[in-house]
Amino acid sequence: MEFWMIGALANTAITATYLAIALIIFRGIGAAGQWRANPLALATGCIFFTCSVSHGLRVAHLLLLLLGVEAEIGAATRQVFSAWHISAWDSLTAAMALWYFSQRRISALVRGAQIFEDVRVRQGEAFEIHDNVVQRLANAKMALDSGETQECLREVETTLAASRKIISDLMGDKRTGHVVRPGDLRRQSPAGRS
Amino acid sequence: MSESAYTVILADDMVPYRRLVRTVLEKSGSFRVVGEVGDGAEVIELTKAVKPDLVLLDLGMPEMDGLEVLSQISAASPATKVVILSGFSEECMAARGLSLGAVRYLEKGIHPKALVQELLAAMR
Repeated sequence: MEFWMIGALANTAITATYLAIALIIFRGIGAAGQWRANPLALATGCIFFTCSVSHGLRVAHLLLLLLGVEAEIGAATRQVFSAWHISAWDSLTAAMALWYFSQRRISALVRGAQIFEDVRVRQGEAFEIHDNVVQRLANAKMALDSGETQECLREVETTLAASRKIISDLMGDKRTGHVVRPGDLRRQSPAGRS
Repeated sequence: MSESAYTVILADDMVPYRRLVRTVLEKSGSFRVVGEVGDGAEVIELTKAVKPDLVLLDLGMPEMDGLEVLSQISAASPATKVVILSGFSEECMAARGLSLGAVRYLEKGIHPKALVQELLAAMR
């Protein structure tokens, strides 16, 4: 087998794999409605798509030469692919593309933006609890340990009010419009047991 | 209060807690609070000016958080020791804080006596 044939096979594999990856990414973005919200996934999909077209054109030129169409370009392409290092490199690229495709985690790219958003929201909630509950309870304990009972009681009352507000906000989540329904407050075990 | 008491800057945005810690430290006779600040940027400036023996540093603060200012405190006053006193659990944040130059990590909720003992141990 000549080197240009190896190059043609490698480029065919690259074209098909890159196209499949691009389609998976675009389908995921569409299903999640993230065309604007996830530019990283969109750009990644576009890169795979344009590279797929680029490698596909090389294959097309080689094939058209066999049919006698666009013979000059086809001959030049074949000459390029006759250099062993170009075909070898394309073969390596094809192997990498197939390896990437086999990971079957491409959809994670699409979930990425949502995951980052979820983490950001969760960290915000953690900070709110830290600042309004943990810090105040620590303050109450320090006051109690220092014998400042009034300060301790005041801080416990403030913490109680802050905790209620946080829980109310989380239960009737303003972001998602979630409304608490009968059964939502059913617990796995009695309160106070951890 | 002894003249040889260690000088301390308290950096915490929660004023009532700062006040209680100040009382505890000064009552111990081993520490003298030379400044209180409520945000990360202020602690760097005050450390440069005062060069205290110790900075007792909260992590969650406005402007700059405790982790951001740790290395800058060392640059501002290399001899100053930093002990983190935070509401975040030790498990969650200690390794990060110690890697950035703090000598000890204490969780808020610590008993006042234990706080003084830990700070004295940190200064030795």
